[in-house]
Parts: sequence; structure tokens; C-alpha cells
Amino acid sequence: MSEPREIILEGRGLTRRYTTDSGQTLTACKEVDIELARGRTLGIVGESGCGKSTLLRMLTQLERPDEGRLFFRGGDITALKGEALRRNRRHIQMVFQDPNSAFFARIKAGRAITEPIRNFEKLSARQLREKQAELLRLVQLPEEFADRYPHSMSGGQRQRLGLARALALDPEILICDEATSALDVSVQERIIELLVAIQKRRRISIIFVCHDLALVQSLSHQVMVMYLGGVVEVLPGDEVWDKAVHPYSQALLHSVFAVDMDFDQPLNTLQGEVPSPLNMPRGCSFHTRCPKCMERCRDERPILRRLSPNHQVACHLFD
Amino acid sequence: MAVAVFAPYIATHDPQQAILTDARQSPSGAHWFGTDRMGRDLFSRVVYGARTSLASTMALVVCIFTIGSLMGIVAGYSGGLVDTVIMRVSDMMVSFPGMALAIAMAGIMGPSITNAVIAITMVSWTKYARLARSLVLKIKHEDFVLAARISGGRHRHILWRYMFPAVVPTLVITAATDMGGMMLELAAFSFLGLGAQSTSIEWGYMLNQGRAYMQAAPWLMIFPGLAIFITVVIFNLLGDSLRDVLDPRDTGGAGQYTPLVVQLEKGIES
Repeated sequence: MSEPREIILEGRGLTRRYTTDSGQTLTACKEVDIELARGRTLGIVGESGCGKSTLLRMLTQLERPDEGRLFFRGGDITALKGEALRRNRRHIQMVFQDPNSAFFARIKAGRAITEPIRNFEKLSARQLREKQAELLRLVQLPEEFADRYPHSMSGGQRQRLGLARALALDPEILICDEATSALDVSVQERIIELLVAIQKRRRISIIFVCHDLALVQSLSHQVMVMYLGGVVEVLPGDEVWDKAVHPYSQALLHSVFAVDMDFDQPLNTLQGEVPSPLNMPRGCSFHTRCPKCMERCRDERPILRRLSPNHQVACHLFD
Repeated sequence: MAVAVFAPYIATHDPQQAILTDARQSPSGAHWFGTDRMGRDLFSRVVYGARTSLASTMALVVCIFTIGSLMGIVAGYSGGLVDTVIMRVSDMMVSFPGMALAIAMAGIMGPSITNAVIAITMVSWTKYARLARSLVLKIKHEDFVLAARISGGRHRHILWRYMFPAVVPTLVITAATDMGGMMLELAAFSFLGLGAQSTSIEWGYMLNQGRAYMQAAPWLMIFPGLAIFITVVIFNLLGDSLRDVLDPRDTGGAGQYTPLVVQLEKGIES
């Protein structure tokens, strides 16, 4: 972990607010800092509605942050637009959560996975066919799948197809938005193995979003825990079980089911509901449910502090 | 349609040839549908009329379809100001009575089939625009559209390869169903003297001509009327069966759509 790391994608203070129909302001992401190192995997965990998807939309530049900057290889890409934005897209690709809706039913698989290439390069029909075969091999799909429609395939096959499409441009960053959660466990595992193999071969960086903490920590170099639009803890994947200190991370760990669990013990779950992002609590966003809430937590929002070079936490307990 | 294409072979007489001595004959072996007040063979005129009526209806539907779907797709996809402007203009057109507009147009540009087509187009494209817009809005935020953007698709490319194919089946069905109504509307325009003029042969106009002799020579109205009636019914049936084949219910989402060819094959098998 101590080797010098090259930060490839960096977000500073990314904030995104939406205005609802009734005129209220919904803060989906609040001052999120994110760092992705080259060839590494960053896992993002958090319950639904914690701003993971909004964060991904900003990272993939489908939406522009209201505040904060986004850097790719050190260059500011926050304000890119038009052709420059389009050109830059080839470096950051994404695999979608739901393989059913990620493909247009009227485009054949082969065409769908080579489309990113067509968007950027003029290749002959033969070169495209070669690329197509190469991509299908890469994700371990038979070549004759090129002439089939995505809807005639199984979920796992379609997700591989999504992976093939995302890898078509040879991106440096691959973003997986719960890419496995719509799949059966056995299929999940094979997709993950594929991801890891591809990462080793091509040295790409992966952002892996998931709410399965066990899965995320097993394949991520760094894990980022999000709660209500903010980052609460960042730490190395292999330290999650032992060293996670934020009360929310703790709560997540305690809610994971394990084979050797003692079911006579009461489950250690969080009390109360997630506060509405329309009406963010003052101070620490987690204070309404935190078992260790202090006076200070109600007034002052904690910022991310380094406990060790790779471990950051946003909590007043560790000041 | 075949009748329209092969009109010269089917018609028994020259539709324009006036033999005044044969005026207003009732249907007989020589003149199957009788003759009009100028002694022209009505059967031939009805057959030739199919050309004008079908061609102008087609032209009308094609115009409406193109303008409407284009406007709708662009409005739905771009949103914001473009959307507002296009949809306000379409609201304006809807609130304008079609007939009044057509009469005004005929007054300015002179009555002709082309002007009638233009007038009806101006009022009717809004329906297609609305439909196309709502369909586009529905799929605009689907993952596959986002995927197309992330993978570097240009807007033009997304409009053409994704939005257009997604919208077309529903619009084609609407167009096919509308064809009958459009034909009626055109015939009505011609009947009122706002569309086809005496030099061209058109069913609506023939009705108008026959109106004066309704009692003495009812066939002058019966046969063109029947022609309109049959064609409209055929178009409506066509629209219905198209709907069965290309059911729009499973065209919006990505998952369930079966390509037309596959559906037709299944249809043949069963």
C-alpha cells in the first residue's frame, strides 16, 4: 500500500443539489472528496439514497456538480463541454446496474459493443469485426452472440456485454454501478472474477459501487463508505473488518449476515430512519441515529481526517 | 392502391373526355357507374380519382408524420427552451380552427389540393409532435441512452439511432389509423371547393359536382361516396392490423421488444 500512487481521477468538494417541484432543495451529494489511484479499485458502499448514483453521474459527467472540481490525470475537467467533453468521455466508461435496460432492444449485440469505437474512430468493416470478436473473447462470450439481440440473452451474458461495451474504448477508468446486484450469486462471482482479471491485464482503475459490504471489501483496494450524501470513512479494503471505526461503518458491519452468526443474539441494527435529504440535519448527518452521539455532533459537521495514510474518517470521536 | 397505379388499364373510358350527348346517363353496360353532367364516364373518373385522393392523402400523412415526429423528437430530447418554443407553437396551432385556417390559406394562395394539404398539415402535425415527444421523454433517461452518451455518442447520432427507431412504430400505427380520417378531411375540403379544382379528378370534388343532381342522378354522389367510404374503411382496418403486429405496448422498454421480422415469423408458424 505504500508504493507511490498515481491519482488518476480526483474529485474535490463535489456537491450536487436538486430543486424539487415544490421548490425545496435536495442535497444529493455534499462536499464529496474522492481519489482513485491508477490500477486500483475503489469500492463505494452505502444504503440506497445516500448519493452514490448522483456521485457516479458527476464522475461520468452526465451531470455537472454545483460546487467542487473534478480532475482527470491532474487536469480540471469540470467545465468541459461540447466536443471536448465528448472526447474526454472515452477515458471514463461505465457498466450499468440493470443489464435489461442498458441495451436498446433494436440494436444487435455486436453493433452495441462496437458503437463506442464507431463514435471515435473510423474503422473499416473488417477492423470492426475483429474488434468485436476480440471484445467478445475478452468477456468470454461466444462470437456468434454478435448477431443476437441483447434481450435474447441471460442477465449474466448481458452484463458481460455491458462490460464489453465499456471496455471497447480501452478506458482508464471503469465505473461499475452495482454491476452485479441484479444477478444471481453464482453469476456475480464470475463477473467479478472477470473484472479482476481484466484489471490485472489492462491496469485500469475501477470504481465499484455496491451495497454488499462483504463483496466490496474483498475486491477493493480502498473502500469508501457514504451516508446521506457525504463520505464518512475511507479505508483499505482488507482493513474494513478490523479497523473500521465510524459508527455508521460499524453498524453496516454488524448488519452483515454470516454463516457462523449467533442468531440468539439480537441483531445490532440501527434505530430510526435516514433523515430526508430535503432537510439535512445540522452538524453530523449521522447524529440522529448514531449510538455514540455527543453534544458537539449536533452543531458541527465533522470533516474527513486522516487516521493513517490510507484511512480517513469523518467523526468527532477521532479528533 | 393497385387501382390508383393501374388506373389507365382499368378505366373503360378517358375520364376527361366529355360527350355532352351522353350527359347524366344512369349506370349501364357501357358506363358502369353512369356519366356525369358533362357526359364523362363516372367509373373511369372514380378510378382516376383514386390517384389524386390517395396521392394527396399519402403526401399529407407523410408531411404530418415527418414534421410532427421531427419536432416532437427534438423537443423531447433537447428540453428547455427548444421544447418550450416548439410546444407553445403547437399549442397555438391546436387552438386554431383547421377549417378557418384552410379558408384563409385558400384565400391567400388560391384553392388547390396542394394548399389544402399544407393547411391540414399545419394544424395536424401537433398530434404527432406530442406523441413523439412523450415517447422520447419516456426513454430519454433510460440506461441505454445514458450508455450511448457516456460512450461518446453525438446528439445527432443518439436522435437518429435511438430516439427515432423507438418512436417510429407507434407513429406509423397512428399514421395508418389516421389515413382514413385525413382522406375524409381532404375530401371535405375539396367538397367545399377549397381543395381540388375542376381540372383535377378528386372524389370530394366529384361529390360537390354531383350535389346539384342529387335527385335526378343519385349515382353521381353514390359512387364517389362509396369509393371514399371503402378506402377509409380499408385504411382503418390496415391501421388496426398494423397495431396488432407492432403493438406499441412492448416497444418502449428495452427488454420485451421482439423485432418485426421475428413477430411475423411467429405469426406464420402459429
